[in-house]
Amino acid sequence: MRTLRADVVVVGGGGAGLRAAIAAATARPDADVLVISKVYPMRSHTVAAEGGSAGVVGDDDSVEQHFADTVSGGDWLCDQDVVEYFVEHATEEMQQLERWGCPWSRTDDGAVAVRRFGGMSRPRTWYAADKTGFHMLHTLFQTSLKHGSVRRLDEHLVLDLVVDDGRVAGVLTYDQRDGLPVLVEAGAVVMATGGASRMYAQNTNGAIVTGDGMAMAYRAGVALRDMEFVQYHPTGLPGSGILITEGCRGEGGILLNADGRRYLQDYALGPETPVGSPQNKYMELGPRDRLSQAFWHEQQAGRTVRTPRGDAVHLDLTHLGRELLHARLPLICELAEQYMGIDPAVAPIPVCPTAHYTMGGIETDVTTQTSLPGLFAVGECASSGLHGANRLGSNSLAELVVLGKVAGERAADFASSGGVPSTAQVRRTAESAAHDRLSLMGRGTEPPSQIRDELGRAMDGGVGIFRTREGMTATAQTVAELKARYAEVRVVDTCPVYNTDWATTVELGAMLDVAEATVHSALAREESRGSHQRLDGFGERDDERFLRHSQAWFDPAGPPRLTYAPVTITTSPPASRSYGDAGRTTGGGR
Amino acid sequence: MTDPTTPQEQLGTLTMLVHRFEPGTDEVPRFVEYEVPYGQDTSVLDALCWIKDTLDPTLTFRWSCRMGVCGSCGFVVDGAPRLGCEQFVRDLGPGPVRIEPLANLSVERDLVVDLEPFMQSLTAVRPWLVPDPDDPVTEGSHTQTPEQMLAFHDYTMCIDCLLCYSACPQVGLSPDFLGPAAITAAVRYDRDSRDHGQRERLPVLDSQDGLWDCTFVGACSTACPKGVDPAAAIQQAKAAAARSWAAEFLLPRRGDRP
Amino acid sequence: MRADEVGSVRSDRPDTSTTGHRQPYRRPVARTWFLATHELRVYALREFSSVVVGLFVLNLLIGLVSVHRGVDAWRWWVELQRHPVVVVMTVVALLMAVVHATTWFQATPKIIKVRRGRRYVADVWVVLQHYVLLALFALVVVLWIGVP
Repeated sequence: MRTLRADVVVVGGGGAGLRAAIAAATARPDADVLVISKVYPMRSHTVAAEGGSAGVVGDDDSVEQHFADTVSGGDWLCDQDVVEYFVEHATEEMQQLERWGCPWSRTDDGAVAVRRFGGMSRPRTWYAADKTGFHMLHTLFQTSLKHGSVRRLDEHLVLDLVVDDGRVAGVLTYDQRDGLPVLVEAGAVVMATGGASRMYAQNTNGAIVTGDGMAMAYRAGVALRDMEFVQYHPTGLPGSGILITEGCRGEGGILLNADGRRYLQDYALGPETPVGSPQNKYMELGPRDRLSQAFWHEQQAGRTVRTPRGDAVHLDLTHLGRELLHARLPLICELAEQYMGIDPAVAPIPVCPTAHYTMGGIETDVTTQTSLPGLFAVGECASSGLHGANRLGSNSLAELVVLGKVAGERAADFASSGGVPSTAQVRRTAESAAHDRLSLMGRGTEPPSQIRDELGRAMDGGVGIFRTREGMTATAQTVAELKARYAEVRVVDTCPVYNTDWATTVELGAMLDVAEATVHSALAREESRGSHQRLDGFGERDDERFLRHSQAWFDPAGPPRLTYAPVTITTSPPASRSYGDAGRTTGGGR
Repeated sequence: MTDPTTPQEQLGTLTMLVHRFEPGTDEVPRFVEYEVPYGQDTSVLDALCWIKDTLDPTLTFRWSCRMGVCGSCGFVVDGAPRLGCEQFVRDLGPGPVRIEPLANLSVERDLVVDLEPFMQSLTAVRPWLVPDPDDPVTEGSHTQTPEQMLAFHDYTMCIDCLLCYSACPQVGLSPDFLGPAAITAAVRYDRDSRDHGQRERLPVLDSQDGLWDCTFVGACSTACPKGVDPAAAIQQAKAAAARSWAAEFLLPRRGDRP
Repeated sequence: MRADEVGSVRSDRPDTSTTGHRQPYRRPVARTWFLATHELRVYALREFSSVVVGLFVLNLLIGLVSVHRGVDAWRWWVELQRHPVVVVMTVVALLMAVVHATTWFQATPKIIKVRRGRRYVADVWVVLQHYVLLALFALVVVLWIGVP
């Protein structure tokens, strides 16, 4: 088998992976850094992020307030040591991106502009029009080209971690272009493969967001933590799920039900703020989980708008004016026009909650180290403890670079002290794994597209915005059946070059594993917290039993084994989580 | 991925002739015909996904975001380079519609082309911010007004979809040509007030396979789905290169900011 | 081959050697590439117009050389201009000069960017400016040189 070596292998070429690669190359210029991505890095899903990236800059703002917003936003499931580190380093990372050329939007005098965002008490979201992720990704990718020690394997699908002697020894990957497997022996591996929301039928994500890295780490014995927490972005286009940024609401957009009422005031997010004058943490600037839940209630009451692609509410931007819309939200104008035939300057855009982000993932601590020596994880594929039970918008893009840097530096250190394992056993393990994976080609009876569609419907149905024991149990059953059918999955394509039939089937396998961890973790959490909300008698937060992280451990013979781990609380003891006027009078949420 | 049609919404079916090529099996590419049902919001990309899921799992093409930002799904649709996710079937002719890979680039498989020449061109133009060698900003941020941003902002919008490479005849005639997107990336930095890298980018641009293969056809800007206007970037770079040459000629070692 | 004739599933295993299975196919560029689309045809016409304008300039140069050579040569050249082929060529040259001017004027906004505040002046004004200048120049030429 073709074999390569590198000191630091980064799996995934998105914002987190590229930041880690740059950090590793900067910290240790002698180290060989290899970024392996199943797509060219510019295609990574970071590119689709729109709204912005948080970093405290205002005179009336402080890292303490960012900390408080994040912890309450996460419904106190955040590891506060991680939040502290994050808020303290977010601004300097935004500035670093600027020095690398990121075209942040500016105020008239040339300073970086910031805007309001959901759940944030002050405007602190740096933005580049409404294509912040795009600009961050391209800045990071182009900056990575500067470092000669960073090499890339583009369009290589990483299949498995290779573990030897209790530590990570490398990765098994597949070169899609040459059509053959490749073993990469590594001193350290940084997993930066992104989230898994494609396991839901209605989602904002691109094709590639299939939880590959989560599944790999999971199968290698690392816990997937807090998988039950899946964020529904309140405003996606019905049907396609295409993301309509929170930035619309940050600029003053409002949400109306079928009666033309700004219904969020009925869900403890009021009182109604004046149109065009949004106020932080009120109404449309409440946190995402609350907004998505409000939609569900409106839908139950029959007050949502029917569209050919499902129920929706109206996102009204007409009062913002064409000028501002084209300056601050040009992408949204394009998307609404192209995909819905709507001009947002004159008509509201139908939107509905759409699966968007997986707060859970590979368990790490603040150093991004996992329980498997030599394996680090960062970005959406990781559960760093930053987001807790619900992520605030614009914290994710910032997390990529703040913790991406940490991951790169730590991985480089680890590799320099530990060396690159290169043993016959490693090669044998890789050969055997390659054989297993490739044997999928040209056999089977179950069409993968059907398994995928059924998985999507089961997840949307049972592990959506509101959950019941019945629904989750049914989904768990379906996932188990789908996994059994997957054992006979059919891959028609046998051409080794760019075999996307096979590659998407591998991705489907990852999604099934991640879905299993998700539904079982959700079933077991008998409370409602953040984005995990139940209608079956567990509708309240239960700090006594569940102020804990869930940990799902892979079991090849059945559902995951579940354990719980404590949450790190430092300065913010759990309080009630409130927004709108209610948030002014209680201690939490301010 | 959305089911491209639900029974009550179907507007019709379209015949699509899709370019197929399997290395190791096919000597030359061939076209295969598919009948595809479509609705009001079915895109070409949706149609291809439907073919792959329903009729032929071996059909291979790149895609990801389906909202026109990742740049993966470039194809030639009835002779014109388009993003599959932004081209709607309802707007296509009566059929049969030809779906081909991007022109001027080698075909690896079906609708997948070789992007390596572009990746090399992009790296060659040194597309990163070069700080001021005398007074670099090492902390905080640069100041940059919206007026200063105007000079380069459009050029930052390139999604590397390579529709411009497909449209540009010079890319087909001179395979070593840097090409529109790579040159635009260089110009994006050259015109960024924070950058001081014009000097190191100039030799790459100011060469036969750099700028000067461009004969200002303008097809790149017509094809660009993001309004980047690479033709403008290239002509501006030509003017800058000419000015620089003149400055060197008249006053050697003078600065060469455009 | 129609889609419903997809071949049976093959069962041979892929080779796991180190050399790879890549066999990219290079599509040849047609000799008549410039006729493939409307845009390319317009481009070809624009380029061709330069050739025609160039030939017309060559004609004028011959005239200049003839003047230098003396009255007989000059008369020969003037007579030549009356030849039907040359008349046709001159008319074509005039048309091509118009094509040449209009296509290049149309292209100038790509190079001339005039900033007004946070926007560029619209392309149409840049193009218009060229026509205005052309008209002024033509007026000067006609009044100064053309009027006997």
